[in-house]
Formats: sequence, structure tokens, C-alpha cells
Amino acid sequence: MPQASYPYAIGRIRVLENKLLNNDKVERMIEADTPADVLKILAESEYGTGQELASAHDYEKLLAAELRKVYDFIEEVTPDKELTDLFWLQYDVHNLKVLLKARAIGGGDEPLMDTGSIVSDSLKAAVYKGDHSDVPPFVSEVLREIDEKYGERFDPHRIEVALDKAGYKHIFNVLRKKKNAFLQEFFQKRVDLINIKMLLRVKGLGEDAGFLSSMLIPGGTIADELLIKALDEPVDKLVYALRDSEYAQVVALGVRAFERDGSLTVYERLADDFLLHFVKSRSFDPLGFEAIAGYIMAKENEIKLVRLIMVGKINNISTDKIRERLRDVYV
Amino acid sequence: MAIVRMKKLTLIGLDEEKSAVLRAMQELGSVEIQDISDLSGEDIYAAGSAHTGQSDDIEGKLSEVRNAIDLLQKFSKAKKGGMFATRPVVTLKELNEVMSRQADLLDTVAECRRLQEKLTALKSRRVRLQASMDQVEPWLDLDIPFESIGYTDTTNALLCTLRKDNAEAFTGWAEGNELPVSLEVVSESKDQAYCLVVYHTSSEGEVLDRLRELEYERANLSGLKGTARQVREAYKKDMEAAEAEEKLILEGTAQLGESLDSLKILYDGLLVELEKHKAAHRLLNTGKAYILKGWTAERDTKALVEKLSGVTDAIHLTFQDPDDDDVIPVKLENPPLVEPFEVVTSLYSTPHPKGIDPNALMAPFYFAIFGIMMGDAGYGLIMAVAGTIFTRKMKLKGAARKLGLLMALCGISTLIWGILTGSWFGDMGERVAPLLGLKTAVVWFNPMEDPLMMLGFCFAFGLLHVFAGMAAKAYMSIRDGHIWDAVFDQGLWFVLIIGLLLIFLPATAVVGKYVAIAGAVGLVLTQGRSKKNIIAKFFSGLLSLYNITGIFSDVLSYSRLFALGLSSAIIGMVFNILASMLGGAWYTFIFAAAVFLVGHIFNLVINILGAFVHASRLQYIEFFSKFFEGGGHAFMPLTIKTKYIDLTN
Amino acid sequence: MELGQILALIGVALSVFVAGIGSARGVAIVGQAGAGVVSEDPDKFSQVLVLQALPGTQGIYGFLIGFIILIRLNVFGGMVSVSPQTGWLFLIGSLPIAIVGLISAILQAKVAAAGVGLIAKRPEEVGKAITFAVIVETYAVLALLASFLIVYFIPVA
Repeated sequence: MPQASYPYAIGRIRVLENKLLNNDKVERMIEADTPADVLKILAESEYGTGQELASAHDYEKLLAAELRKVYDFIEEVTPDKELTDLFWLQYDVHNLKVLLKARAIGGGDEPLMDTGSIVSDSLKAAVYKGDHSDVPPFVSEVLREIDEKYGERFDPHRIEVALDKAGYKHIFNVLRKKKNAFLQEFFQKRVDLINIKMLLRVKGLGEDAGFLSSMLIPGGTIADELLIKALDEPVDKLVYALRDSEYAQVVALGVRAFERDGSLTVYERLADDFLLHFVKSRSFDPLGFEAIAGYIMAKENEIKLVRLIMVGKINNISTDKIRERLRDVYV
Repeated sequence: MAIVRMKKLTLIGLDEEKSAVLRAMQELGSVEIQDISDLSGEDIYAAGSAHTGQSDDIEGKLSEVRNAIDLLQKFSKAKKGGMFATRPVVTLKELNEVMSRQADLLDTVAECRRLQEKLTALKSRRVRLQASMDQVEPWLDLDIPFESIGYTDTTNALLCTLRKDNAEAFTGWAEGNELPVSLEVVSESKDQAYCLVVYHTSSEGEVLDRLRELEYERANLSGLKGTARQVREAYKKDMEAAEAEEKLILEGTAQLGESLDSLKILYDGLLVELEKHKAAHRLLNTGKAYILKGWTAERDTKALVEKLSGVTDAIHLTFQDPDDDDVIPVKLENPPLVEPFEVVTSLYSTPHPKGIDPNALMAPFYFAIFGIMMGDAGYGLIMAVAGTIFTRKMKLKGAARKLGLLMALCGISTLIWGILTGSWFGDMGERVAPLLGLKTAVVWFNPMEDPLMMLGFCFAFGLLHVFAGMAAKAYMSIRDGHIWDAVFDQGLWFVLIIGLLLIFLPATAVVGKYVAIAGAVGLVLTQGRSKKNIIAKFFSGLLSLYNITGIFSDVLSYSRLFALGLSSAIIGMVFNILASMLGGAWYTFIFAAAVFLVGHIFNLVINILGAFVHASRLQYIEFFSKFFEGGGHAFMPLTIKTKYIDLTN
Repeated sequence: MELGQILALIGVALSVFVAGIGSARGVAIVGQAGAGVVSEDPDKFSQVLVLQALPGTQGIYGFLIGFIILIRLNVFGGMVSVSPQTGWLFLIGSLPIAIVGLISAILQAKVAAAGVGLIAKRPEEVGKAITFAVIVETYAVLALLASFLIVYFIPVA
């Protein structure tokens, strides 16, 4: 096998990019009569690993398999595992949240994602048995911190925040060492967009500035003060304050939608799209990390889109409604 | 220079005869069908889109047949074609016969898919088993069953890997601190030690911390039952079973091999169907009738009418001249000697329908440039012969045929330049000439001995090429009625540059000066003519003189003619020297011949590639930039396209 | 051996190995990109191969200059005597192709690797992908000529 390198990885990615669902396919999926028909179209695009689904309602298995396929592919070609792992970190954080929740309130049937950078058994051992031998130091650190601060008392909100913060701290630590300007910028933008979302969420909950400032993730480019100040002001002020930033459009449209129906869905989609476009606009370098990030994000995005269509089809939502919902968020 | 005159065609016919009409057009291959399906209103569209399902269906079949063919080609014992294998010739009748057996053949395809799936499953099973075996391998000397390794009431045992020095460090540490722990090395690889660690649970914290510091890695063997040897035996058995099953399946696959030829015909039959169905989507359908709009060459109209009247009377067919705002597809027609050069242009862009076809003008330049860059009579001869034989033997078609002929033509050019400069397989000509009683093999001059003369020649040639490009632009302006544009934009430049050149010749220096000044003044006065303001006119006129640097750098770029020629000549010479250094005894002669042969083949291939890309580049950047308008869309008629077979009537 | 001869031979070594390093790296970069594309889509092999070969020419140019210096020194038939000054001139003459060859091969490789990506998506654009890469080579060609003219016209006793 050729040695993993940037040009090799990107060469493979360029071909795989052809297999991403194109507009035609998406359109056909939207037009499909039944969920099973959607799956047929997906099978044409070699979705999942060819396993038979008992029923169309098992589509999550298919999507999980597809994500795992992307994960395996990236693991195979990655020229720098430390950097690609940063993209899988969100699944580790997700798994930790699930495990901590299960530990606190019992149960624990919710399946873990198998696309994290850390083997889920190691996470389980760390959370349940306190055996931190197979988890990286930052996980060990945040678990100790959580145990100290909250003990066995389960505070989902704060624990989530603590995990997110620890994740991003790790990301920025790695990036400081790696000096990858593109990823630095990318994750800064992601933190900015998350922080704005936090602000909106706190606003919706009616909590105070202290609460918000404990939630904000460090490392972004927007000053915390600006966001904290915006908490007690009308949202238009925030839109105005960010009018010259690159987030102007995301904030303007997303915040308006949030005001209108109190939901963050539109904002989240806009933020995802913003990041996707940012990465895409950079991913021409045949020797840089950009194209790899672009492919991971494109696949994640595609999987979200398929999920949206499947949910619509299973719940018998009309074609027009599904299209409208997709248009809301994708065009 | 010929862009074929096109006619717009409109055909109205009955739905039930649509398929037959399209098939007739397909066999003729002279009509490009325009997509007008979205011109219709909603209802009509609905009627038309019923076909979409059908072509999806064919596409699905195609990909399955393709997979089956790939599988059978890989595993069946059917003979494989060599390099010169040509595609089998199949008549329409045979094709129809195979298509009528479609259902049976599709069963075979389905069988292939089942076998393929089983093979994939078996392969991944073997990979998994292999991985598991590798995992157990280091623990073979451990006699304790895996399930009993773990916590007891007072102790714990674990299996892990450590770097060798770290394993020693651990033992030292345990002894130093008199801890109730033992480390036993089960096996060792190059730098890893596979260890069984047993400790009293009272010291668990310290032991684990220390192990962590030493970067231990726990062996992932959970869930295994029995000793390592037992586990491996079990894996081995599984493996053998999987291999046996795989062999069985491969035998089954080999048996299906006899259908391979039929499957290939089926594939191409489906491909032809698919083309037709796709074409059907581009029509405007009403349910009962359809409208077809398209393009065909003016001279092909008669044949089309004849062919279609053989199919049905119930059609209405009209031809029109294109309007100004029509996007006319571009079909090129050139004499046989120019045709191969169309490949070069098509790699760049299809000419604009209102522009000119540059091929006839470009061909002689490309021909000469390629020859000068290769510049070796021996190589030229090989290329000319190989190109001709290859094209004939392989029965190449379309772009591949053009490419083959291009190689043959460029070979002739290379031969000519090689004779002129006396280059035969590097300096072989010079070496052999005395033996033949000749003073030298050089007919004109040897670039290696007179590099300045060669450079001068390259620049002169370059200037001629650039001038030809500008002249083509002037021709286009005149054709469009803008005679003054031609005079100002190209004519004055000719005057200026020729004047500048004359300055360098002592006899004409004075005349040259005045000619150049006249040209320059003319340019300053005319190049700003699109500006309104008189001052702006003057300054943009003055600035336009700066373009002289552009022409200068264009011409300089032709130095690559020399550089590439140099490279092929010298590398060829290197191999000759190497070969001759091996001496003259008969046994060294074999080595010498091998060096000569391999070396020159290498040089030939590398230089064909170099000459091809650089000769193309000189056309694209230096020549086309002067006049060529690209961006046309190539004429793509509905035809019979096949992948595995050649279809005849 | 004389100082002049040594200097001239250093020139030979420089033009061969510096430009050679550039080409080797360049070809490797495009080769990796090509291997990536071909592992997913084997049909693209021939197109990719053309692009991979492009950054290989600088090494050939470097070798060529080195060889011409060897001929001028008459290495194959008893080396001529070379003054230190002439030796320096040969060394200087080798520099254009050595340095420009090194850099242009690597930069050309990046353009060619991007071209490989282009082919992966739009195989019909192979002509453009090649043209982009060939434009970079112009400067290696000019450096080759400069080096050639220098080493060719240096007077040797």
C-alpha cells in the first residue's frame, strides 16, 4: 500500500467526491414514494456496507454504517491522525455524555457511536470503573474534574458544557503544537458559532450573564464580553454588532428565525452550511488538510440530509413539505 | 478551415413510432437532439417523464451486468486478449438475438452477484480471522486460559505489551519497592515485550500508575475462552473452512465464464437502448405525438430524409437555417492530413461556432514544432511506423485513431528534422557516417555544434508562428467587415516588429528605424481609438506599446524547441556512449545492445511525451491567444456507442 | 587533481543532484496523488501517468547540463587541464538549472497534483490540467538554456 500522504489521501478523496449525492439524486429521493424507495436510491450510491435492513425504519443503522465507512476510510488514508482525530472528537464527547448520563440515571441502553477517536470500551472503563488507563489525558482530566465538582450528582447541562470545553481545549492544544493555520481558523469559527448559539439558548432560557459566561467556550474570535452584553439587549443589537463579521448572514437569518419560532434549527443549519462553505472554498490545495476536512464535513452533512428525508418519508410528510424544509436549510 | 454548416431540424411524429425513428437516427449517427423537454407545461411533462423510470431501470441492469463481466473476467478461465486484442465484431442480428435472451442472461448476472457477495463476505471473514490470529500469536506460550486471567479475591492478572526496556524498568521498580507484583515476559518481538502482570489488589493504584508511565498497552483479548493455542487452533479451522468455501465458489464462477461473451454483447445492447431512451427524454412529448428538435449537418439532410422515409410516412420533418441567437453545435471537417491535429485543439476547447476552425492553420506548425523538439531520424522512423501499424491493427476509432495518426505524422516530421540535423538515435549517425564513406550525417546544420544558429532559428520560427496567429485574427476582422481593425491591431504591429528586426541588419538599419517609428507612431495614434477623451486616447495608445514585451516573451518561449531537441539528442548520446564503453567482445556486445535498446526506448517515450505537451502548449498559449475563440460545444449526435464490441450491419 | 577540475565537477554534481532531487520529489508528490485517484478509479491510470511524468523533466535537464560539462572537460578521454577561474565558471553555469530545476519541479508537481484532482472529477479536462502544469516548466526550460549557453561557451584550453 502506498504510504499515507496528503497527495494520496486527497487523490482518493477527489474520486470519492464524485460519489457524493448530487442534486439529481437528492431530488429523486425527495420525489420517492416510500422510505424503501429512498433506500434503493441510496443503495445505488453504495451507501452503508451493503447490509440488508429488516425495514426502512432501521435507516439509522445504514447511516451509522455509512459514517463508519467514512471513518474507516479516513483512518486508512490519513496523513496525520492527530489532526483527523480532531474531527472525530465530537463523537467521543457525545459518547462521554451518553455514558455519564447512563451512569447517573441507570439504564445505559443508548448505543455509543463507533466513530470516536477513542475506543468506546476504554471510555466505558473510564466512566464506570474509573480505569483511566486507556483514555488520553484530557479525557481523564475532565472526568476527574466532573467527579470532583459534581460527584455523582448529575447536572446534565454543566457536564455537557464541561465536556465541550475540554474537547475544544484539547483541539486548540493539538493545533498549537501542529501549527495548522487552516484548522485553527476552522475551529475558531466553529467555536464562535457555538458561542452565539449558547447565547441564544441562554436567552431563551431566561438565565443570567453568569450562567452564560460559564458556558462560553474559549478559543473563538468573538469577545465574550460582546456576547454577555448582548444577553440583556434586543437581538437586533447583536445582529448589528456582527454586521461586518463573516457571520453577518448566519446571525441575521438565524437569529430572526429564532425570534420568530424560538427554534435554533435554522441557525444550526446555517452555521453548518457556513462552515461547510468555508472549508469547501479552501479545499483546492492538493497538498493541504483542507480537502480532507472538506470530505468529512460533506459526508456528515450528506448523512444529516438523508436523515431529514427519511424522517419525512417515514412520517408521511408531503414531498413539498420535505423540499421546503430542505430548501429552508440547504439553499 | 471548416466548421460544417448546420441546419436546425424539427420533426413531429407519432408516439408509437418514436422508438423506431430514434433507432434509425441512432444508426445514421448524424443528428444531435436538443433538450426541449422542459419547454412543455406541467401536463405534457408528466407524460414525458414516465420514461425516466425506464432508463433508470436500464442503468441498473447495466451496472449489474458490468459487475458480472468484471467478476467473470477476473476469475473465469476464458482467454484474455493481448495488447493488440481488437474488439469482436458483432452484427445487428446477433445483437438482437442476444437481447432476446435477456431474461436468461440476467439470471446469470444475478447468480454472479450472489457469488460476488459470498466472496466479499468470505474475504472479510478471512481478514478478521487473520487479525485475530495475529493478536493471539504473541501469547502462544501462555498456558493459562484467557478467561481465568483477571480479578480473583486478592489478586489481579492482566496481559499487556511494553517496550522491552520498560518491562525491565518495571521489574526493577517492583523489586526496589518490594511490591507484591510479578511480571512475566510471555514472548518478545523486535522491541516489544508481551507480559503477564500479576499483582495483589492492595497495590493496584501504584502498579497501574507505574504501568501507565511506562506506556503499557493492554492486550485486547476480552471474550476469548481457552488457552492461546486452543484459540488459535479454532481460528485455523475457521480459516480453512473459509478457504475451502472460497475455492468452491471460484469454481462455480469459472463455470459461468462461458456466458462472458454473451454478457458483453448484452451490455452493449443495453447501452444502445439507454442512449435511445435518454434521447427520448429530450423530446417534447404530448402522449400521442412528440416533437423533436435537433441539429444536423446541411449535407446530411438528404440521407436523413431517405432513411426516415424508410421507417415511416407519418412524420413531419423540416429544416431551417440557424438564427443569430441559436447555440449551434460545432462539427469540424478537415482534410485527412489535418484531421489528426483536431485532437490537439479539442484538448483545449471546441471552436466557437462563429469563429474559425484553427486546425488547418495550426497543423503545419504543430507538425514542424513536434519534429524539431524530437529531432531524431531514428525515433521519427519508429514513431511513423508504430503509429501507422497501431492505428491499422487495433482498428482504432474516433479520438484514439486521430491520436495514432498524429503520432505517425509527427514521426515523419521528426524524421525530416533528424535527417537535416544528422541525428540518428542520438549521435549514432555521426558514428556510422565515416563507415559509409560519408564525411558527416548532417545535411543542414548540427544544433549541438551551432547552438546560436539554432536559437536564432527557433526565434524566427516562433515569430512566424505568432505572426500567423495575428494574421488569422486580421482575417477574422476583415471577414466580419472590420478592415480597419485588422490594419490597426495587426498590420501596424507587423510594421513595428519588422522595422525593429530590420534595425539589426546593417544594410537596412536606417530603413528599419523609420519603419519601426512609423509603426510605433501608428500604434500610439490608433490603439486608444475606443476611448472617448483625446488624452485617454493618447495614453492608452502609448501604453499599448508595452505589449511588445508580450510578443517578445512569446517568441522567447520558442527556445524550448531547442531545449527539448537538445535533451533528446544528448540523452540519446549518453546511451550510445554507455553502450560503446562496454567494448567490442561478443559477450559484452549483448549488454551493449541491451543498454542501447532500453536506453533509446526510454528516451523515445519520455521525449514523445515532452514534445507532445510542449508542442501543444505553444499552440494554446502563444498561438491560440492571438485569434482563437473557444467555448463552442462539440456536435454530439445520437449514435451507437459500445464498450466491448464493434457493431456492424 | 586540479582545483579547476574539482570545481567543474562540483558543477556537474550540483546540476545533476539538485535538479534531480526536485524531480524526484515532484514525481513522488504527483505519484501519490495519482495512486490515490487510481486506487478508487483504475481507468484514470493513463491520464494520471502523463501528469506524473511532467515534473520529471527537470532532473533530465540537470543531467544534461552535467553531461555537457563532462564532455567539455573531455572526461571520457583524459581530462583537460582547467584553471580555477574556468572551474568557477562551470560551477556558476550549473546553478541556473540546479536551482530553478529544484524549485520548479516541486511547484510544477503541486500544479500537476491539483490537475490529478481535476481529472478525478472531470477526465475530459485532461488537456487543461496538463497545460497548467506545462506552463510552470517554461522557467526550467529557460534555466536549461541559460546553463547550456554558459557551459557551452566557456573557453577551455
